[in-house]
Amino acid sequence: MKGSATSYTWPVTASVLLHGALLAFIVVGWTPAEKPRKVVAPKYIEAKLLQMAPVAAQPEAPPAQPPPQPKAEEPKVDTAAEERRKQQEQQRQEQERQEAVKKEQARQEQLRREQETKAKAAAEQKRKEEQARAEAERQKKEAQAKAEAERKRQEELKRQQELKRQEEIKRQQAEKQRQEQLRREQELARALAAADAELGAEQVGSYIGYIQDRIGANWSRPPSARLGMVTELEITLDGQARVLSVAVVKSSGNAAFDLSAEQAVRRAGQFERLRELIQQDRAAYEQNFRRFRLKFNPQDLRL
Amino acid sequence: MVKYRLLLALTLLVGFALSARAELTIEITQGIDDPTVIAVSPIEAGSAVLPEDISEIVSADLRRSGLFTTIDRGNMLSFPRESSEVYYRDWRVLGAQYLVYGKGERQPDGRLKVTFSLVEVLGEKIVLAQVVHGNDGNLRDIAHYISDKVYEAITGIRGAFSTRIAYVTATAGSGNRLTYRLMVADADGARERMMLESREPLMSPSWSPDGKELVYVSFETGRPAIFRQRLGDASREQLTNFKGLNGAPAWSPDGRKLALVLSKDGNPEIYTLDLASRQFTRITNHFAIDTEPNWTPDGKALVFTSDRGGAPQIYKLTLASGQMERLTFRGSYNARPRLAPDGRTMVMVHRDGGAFHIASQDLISGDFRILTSTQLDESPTVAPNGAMLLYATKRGTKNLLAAVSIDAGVRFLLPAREGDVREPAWSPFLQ
Repeated sequence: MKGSATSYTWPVTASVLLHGALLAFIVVGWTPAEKPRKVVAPKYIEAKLLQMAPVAAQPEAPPAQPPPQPKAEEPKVDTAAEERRKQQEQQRQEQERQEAVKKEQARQEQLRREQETKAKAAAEQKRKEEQARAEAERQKKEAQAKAEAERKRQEELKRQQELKRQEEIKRQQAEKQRQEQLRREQELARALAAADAELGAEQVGSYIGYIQDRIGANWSRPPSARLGMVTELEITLDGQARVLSVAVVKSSGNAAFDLSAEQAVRRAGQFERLRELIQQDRAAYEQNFRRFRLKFNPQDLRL
Repeated sequence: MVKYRLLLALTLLVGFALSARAELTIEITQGIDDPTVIAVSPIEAGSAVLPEDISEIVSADLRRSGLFTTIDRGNMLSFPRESSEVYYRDWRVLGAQYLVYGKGERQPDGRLKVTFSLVEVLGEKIVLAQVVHGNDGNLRDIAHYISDKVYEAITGIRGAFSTRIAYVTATAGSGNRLTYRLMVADADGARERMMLESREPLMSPSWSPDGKELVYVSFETGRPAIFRQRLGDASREQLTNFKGLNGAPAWSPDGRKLALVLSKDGNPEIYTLDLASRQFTRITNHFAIDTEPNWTPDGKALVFTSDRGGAPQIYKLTLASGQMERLTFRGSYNARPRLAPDGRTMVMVHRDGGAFHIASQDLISGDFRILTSTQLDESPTVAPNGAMLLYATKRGTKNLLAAVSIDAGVRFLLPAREGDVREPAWSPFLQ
């Protein structure tokens, strides 16, 4: 890269110098013979009469008088001397006129020659310029070709590198995707497990409601039952959700009330719906319902 | 022994999943209070037929309480007499929650030894097993005793089947004149016994706290007078003989006094009579009518009817302090208060529009309920266990007795008797 940079230097410099010289030559050594004529466009002014009334009040300006014509002094006396002098004068005037013509012709000739020289110089200048330009063009083209080649090489290199980079990115992305996939799968598994657990808890909750309903529907309280009486029973179920045993673990102090609670459980007998749970989630059943407590705490009594 | 256990009510469900090791506790807060289904297997003495069908009496007692439905003997698959003969499956099939079985054994002296058991069918558990002695003459007492024990075991309330009721009947006698009779019967209406017969009206029987005597008002002397009479030998004694009204006697819980109404001083006022000293003490002094006194269970106060407020309402008078308190405010007619044994539930005659009903009022919570749907109801009297009350009512032109559970859950009419039946009085618990 660096070598190619230096290789640019001298053609560029030469080109700049050549151009500079050319410019200087044009500015200093050559001026145009005729100044460009300036065309003055006539100006038309449109005017409008805006007021009439005040004009009457003012004295009318006197019409512009033509400027006084200078009068050529004409000889008043027609004499012979005068005639001669007149003739002499005429001859002299004729001579002067011829001389002026000659002079004018010489000046014209001079001017023509000058112009010819100038044209020649200009042609030479132009040719040189042309040459320099062609040279510069050539050099420029060469440089451009070179640069183009370099650019192409660079581009190819870049393309290769880009390709590599893309591949790397792709690889990385794939890896990332794989990781992501893995993570998602794990997450999903976790979520599923959580959902399972939640479902389990929900299910257990619904079964609790079911048990409450079942036992409540079978609980016939004795008339001695009063608000505030609480009996706690421990229930054992078998593998098919049948009541295996009922034991009073905390008495209400009213034997009939305790008995009514026991009766309620025994009348419920089997918790049919728990068998669903047994089929679906044996562990949840074993953990929660194989043995549990029932707290009989009436809230719907009058006294 | 006290292990940590998480009591998990439904409200605590949130923590459920986490409490893996804690034992689940489910709270039951509502029930249905249906009648208990019970079967009473026939109780017999060997092959001999007893003069009374004990198990049928027990069944009837339990049914009448309103808390039980009984299984017909005809539906029973077996008649067990002892535990070895009980096939629980059979009773479960019948839907029986409880089973009573037992047997009578004739003793060498002719007496009867009755063994009975109450078992819980579903739990196959013996709840109660007892022996009771009797003879052919008191088989009904044995039956009521069994009823009481079974009732108490299942309901938690002392049974009142062995108690009695007193009442007055009026039947058309010769010459179309009414004959009044003071009667005493078992609580189920059986074994009716006449205490007194009179051509003049008999009113307001009231039991002594020991259940051995009655006081009542009799017009036999030509004007109302209060008598006391022993049940055992029917001996009687006149307690008052004042001019004007002598009425509404009520025996004090300690048995020493009567509260009564006398109008000897001009208008009806409440007095107490010390039975030992025969001293009358005037309790109320008001130009309005004060009548129908009833003792609070602790004997420290009287509740009575007074129209001192312009209409009959119930007041309470604390005897020691003389403090007076009006108890009823609902409606324009509340009269004849009777307190249940808990001293908290008061029953009364309440006029609701044009009809007279029996109503109850909780003296603590103020809860007021009309208990009866019959009309022209009067004279409520509460069973000594506070579970039921009897009252007199009219059907057509006939006066008869009806019963209602104190929570208004059960209502039934007692078997109609000949003639009019009025003024029931439920006895206390009897020995």
